[in-house]
Amino acid sequence: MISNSFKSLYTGRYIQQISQYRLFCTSTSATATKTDASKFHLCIIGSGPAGLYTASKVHKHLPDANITVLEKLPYPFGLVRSGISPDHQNEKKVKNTLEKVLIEHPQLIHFVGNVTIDKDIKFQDIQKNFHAVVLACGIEGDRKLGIPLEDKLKNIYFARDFLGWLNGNLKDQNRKFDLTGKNVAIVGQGNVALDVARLLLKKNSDELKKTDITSTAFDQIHKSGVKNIHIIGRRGPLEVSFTNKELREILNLPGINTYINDISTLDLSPEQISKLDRVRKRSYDLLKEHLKPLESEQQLENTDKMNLIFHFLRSPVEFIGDESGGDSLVGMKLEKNELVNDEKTNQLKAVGTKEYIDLQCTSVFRSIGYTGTKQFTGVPFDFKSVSIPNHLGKVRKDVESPEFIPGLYVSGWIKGGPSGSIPNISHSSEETAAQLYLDYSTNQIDLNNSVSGEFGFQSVLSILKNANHRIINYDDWKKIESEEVKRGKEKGKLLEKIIIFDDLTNIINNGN
Amino acid sequence: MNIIKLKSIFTPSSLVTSYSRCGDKSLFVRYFSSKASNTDKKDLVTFNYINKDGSKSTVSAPVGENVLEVAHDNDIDLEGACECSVACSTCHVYVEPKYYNMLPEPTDEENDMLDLAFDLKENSRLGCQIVLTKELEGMTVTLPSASRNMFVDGYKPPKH
Ligand SMILES: Cc1cc2nc3c(=O)[nH]c(=O)nc-3n(C[C@H](O)[C@H](O)[C@H](O)COP(=O)(O)OP(=O)(O)OC[C@H]3O[C@@H](n4cnc5c(N)ncnc54)[C@H](O)[C@@H]3O)c2cc1C
Repeated sequence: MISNSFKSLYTGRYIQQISQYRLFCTSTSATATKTDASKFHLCIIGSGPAGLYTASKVHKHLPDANITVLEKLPYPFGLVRSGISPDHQNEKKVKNTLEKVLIEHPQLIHFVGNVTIDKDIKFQDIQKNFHAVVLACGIEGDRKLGIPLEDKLKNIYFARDFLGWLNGNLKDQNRKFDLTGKNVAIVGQGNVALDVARLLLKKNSDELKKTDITSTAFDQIHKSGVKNIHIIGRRGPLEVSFTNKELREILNLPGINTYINDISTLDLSPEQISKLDRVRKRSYDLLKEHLKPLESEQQLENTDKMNLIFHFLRSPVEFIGDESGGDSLVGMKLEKNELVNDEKTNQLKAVGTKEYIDLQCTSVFRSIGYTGTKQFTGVPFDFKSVSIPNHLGKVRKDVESPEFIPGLYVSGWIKGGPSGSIPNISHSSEETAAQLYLDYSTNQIDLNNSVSGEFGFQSVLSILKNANHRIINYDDWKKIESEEVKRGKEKGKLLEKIIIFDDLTNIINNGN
Repeated sequence: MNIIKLKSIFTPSSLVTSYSRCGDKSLFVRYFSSKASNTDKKDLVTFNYINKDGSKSTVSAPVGENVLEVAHDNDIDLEGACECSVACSTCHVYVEPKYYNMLPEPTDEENDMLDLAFDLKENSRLGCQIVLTKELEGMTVTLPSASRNMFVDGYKPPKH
């Protein structure tokens, strides 16, 4: 094995090799490089945006490289299929961009779905059978609030599970979401919180019904008794993580009232306003324009419209169960916060004032981020940054280590942490692909470790075949997709997703 | 100049793998553009892209096409993940300041997306929102690159 230490990046040999690469790169265009990489086998774990973008960007550098994309779900596209909201079809169009690499290079780039690492195939076996591995498996492990009664009471959910459920994600189909109550609270002030709120507000939307939302989910939302949606954040209106597009979208929904718990949080002097950066200034303007003060509970009652209420500077400190001591949720105790400058980080942080209010609600969605999970033996995970420690996509031996694990890369959420949208992932993958190519062209990837016999894609197939494991390949997926389109057509909608695993396998077996 | 809603977002055709970047509009423009290029040179605009590797491509395209469509027609590596629906920022480019000032102001929707663009600058725009006019003759647009620095002689990764 070549030692892939951080220091070696600075050796003269390395610089010289980069210069050679540069010559090479400028004499041809970067997109038409003609390195013979036909003996190079790359495995990408995860087929979300990061996995498929990386495949496509590596392919541009090394058009002959063999790339195997392993995915634990029976279908590709990660959160594009199972996270991005069904009423965001424009955002979901990235599927077309991502899929191209699978369509255009069927001999070189293979999708292998329904494979769980370490259960169906050992991670070490993958490392042994490929020259390089890119982990592009996103981030899982939703963060809890960690407050009393959270694990005891019913109707406390993760927002991402709700999006997974209505997006037809198989693993979320057994979940039940109680939407019968009038008051729903969403904790967290990022885009996923707004996704949940918006979908609940669209309960009568014919447009939503015609998307790829599952019919079951739409029916439940349609029948829901929700009238008031409370979005709760511990900091103020200038610290929200909503992006302006999502904020504009929800604040402009027709037929709803939009309130703020404390209008004084929007009182800024012209001088304070002039100091806001571009993005903040625009979100401030949006909130200022659309939010009315909520002066009494009565306001929410005296209207036929649904109400969306932003609660700023509030932290849930306890869930409240019903008087019988059973497991029914009736509300949340919120502590009022004030913002204090944190000298360590020089950022405003929320500090409790020991003043409390109760908020009535019978269902709660948590959307306060992720803890992450350590998935792969021998690969470090940094729970602080919720990512695998890396430098420009090369995985470090340990969180602070200056040395790298040879041939191991990361891309997407697992590389940079669980935030950021599709354009960030494209950028993240471009960087990783460039780093991998740089390592390849400076001989830092060991190409001589092919054990005798099978290697790369073929070896994965053999291992899984010997274990009698059913994989789902790209052609299988296309059969599923065309069935989903067909079922959708029958119902006058974009897609009706298949939400039962046995249905998937039947469709594949029966072909069409 | 609002091309956001030219294609209904709920047509199943967005599922069928399509290579169109801007839905029906591009077909429409193509039809006329081939005519234009045969008959009327007056309606062509010549301008430049600085590619991700720093190289320059000079192209000519008809008035009315946008910078993203033209990039795709000329194999320039500019993405367009949302196919011109102003729902992403993957076609973000830098416009030479002189020409930037000639462009109509970005809409709120475009600004919302630019908020999210990687390495936003004063002269950032979405390629799909830059529609060619004769005024833009000679313009240069630069593609942001995540990797350009990595391929420069003697590049040292930042210490941290
Ligand atoms: C609810 C929600 C809504 C969102 N809405 C938007 C939006 O509207 N617009 C936008 O731009 N962005 C949105 N995002 C963000 C966007 O989805 C992410 O930026 C992007 O999907 C991250 O890409 P990724 O490939 O890193 O991770 P993922 O998309 O999570 O893909 C990871 C893939 O790896 C697979 N995997 C995981 N572990 C393994 C394993 N051990 N073996 C094999 N495969 C594995 C997973 O099944 C998955 O398919 C949203 C995110 C969420 C959660």
